[in-house]
Amino acid sequence: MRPAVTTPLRATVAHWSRIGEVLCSRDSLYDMTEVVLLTVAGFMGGTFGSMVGLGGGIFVVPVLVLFLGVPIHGAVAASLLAVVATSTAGSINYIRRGCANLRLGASVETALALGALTGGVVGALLNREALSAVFGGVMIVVSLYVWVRRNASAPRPLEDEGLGRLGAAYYDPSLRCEVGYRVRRLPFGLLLGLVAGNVSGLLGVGGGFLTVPAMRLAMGVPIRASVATSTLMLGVTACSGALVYLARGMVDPVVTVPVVLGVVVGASLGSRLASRVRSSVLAAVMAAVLFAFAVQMLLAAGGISLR
Amino acid sequence: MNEERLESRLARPLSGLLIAGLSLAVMLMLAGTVLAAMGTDGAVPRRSSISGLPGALANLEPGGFFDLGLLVLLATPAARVVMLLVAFGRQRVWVFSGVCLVVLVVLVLSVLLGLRA
Repeated sequence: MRPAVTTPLRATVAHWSRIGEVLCSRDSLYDMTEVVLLTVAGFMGGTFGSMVGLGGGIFVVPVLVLFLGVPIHGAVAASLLAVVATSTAGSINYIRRGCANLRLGASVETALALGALTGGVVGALLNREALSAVFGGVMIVVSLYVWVRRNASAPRPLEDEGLGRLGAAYYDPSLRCEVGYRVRRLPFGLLLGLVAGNVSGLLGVGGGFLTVPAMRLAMGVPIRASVATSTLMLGVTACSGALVYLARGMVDPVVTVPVVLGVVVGASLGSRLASRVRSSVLAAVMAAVLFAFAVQMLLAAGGISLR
Repeated sequence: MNEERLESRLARPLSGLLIAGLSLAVMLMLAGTVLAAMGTDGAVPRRSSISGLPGALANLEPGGFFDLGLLVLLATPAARVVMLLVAFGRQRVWVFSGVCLVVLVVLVLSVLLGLRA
């Protein structure tokens, strides 16, 4: 039999893979090198995620699982906490600028939080392979969504009309005018919110890739207000899912804290870099990376590792 | 008061609450990281109960700071919903006050279902 070839790269990858197993043991050892790797994973997830308008979770979970060997339940829990942090940080500016619709947000949050609760319970009960397979499937959908939307054009202002009880108006600096809107088809929006919350709680992702188009296309909310209100809502959504994992003892602070700190810094940097990089090129690259991760997650679910 | 005007008046205290919550959470997590880096054995045992938290903080255990930081982080969006509930309630906008109450009930249910699952 041929002996296994051990290259420096292979040894490094093997070392990284053991980090999650060590960190998720009951009495975790705190190695600064490993903490730095987790922080870098969070930082990269936060940077790239915010550059393409997604939360960091869709990148953080596969990186933790595939490259750092963190068990998927621990990765999902860490990602949910990271989503809470990025949502909180992102909401501050949106609320100050008056873009976030607090009444609409509170209304849709009921469905999102309920969905996240059920998603969190189901996710915590699913075995590792099943959860990886579901995550891989959803990632393929998200990568296709990012690819299709890479050349999306700027939105047009809506006609000002009766705003209704949930509608609002805000100043759009890019259009240099006040944009008013009326919220339509609330029940349908709530139904979509329930689905988005479920995906978020189940997989530890923000769910913004579902809530933003749902609010924009189904409820007639302009894109800027959709993104702002969605960012605000996802904090509560992820909080609901994270509480399930926390109560079940699946949140490992030694994994979660570095990831959260990395994602917060990365998301801040990503939002600044986004305007300097051509978004269509960036979205195409991200779609390809997500698709590659998705395939790896599906193969991992079937017990096949490419490493 | 008009509901939209109420929202604009709430912008300042709401954003202040989010800044305070996030800053406190990040500071606690950073403090835990520094304490862990300074420790000799490097062991960070998990805290599984809220009751063990004051003791861990008093003994400057990194795990206590990590847990408190994560709890503050989770409490921040919930506190934002409480602030909205009170603000809408004080202006007798019962529909949205009730909606906020439903959200809080779901958050409490999340903890209860997680404990029972």
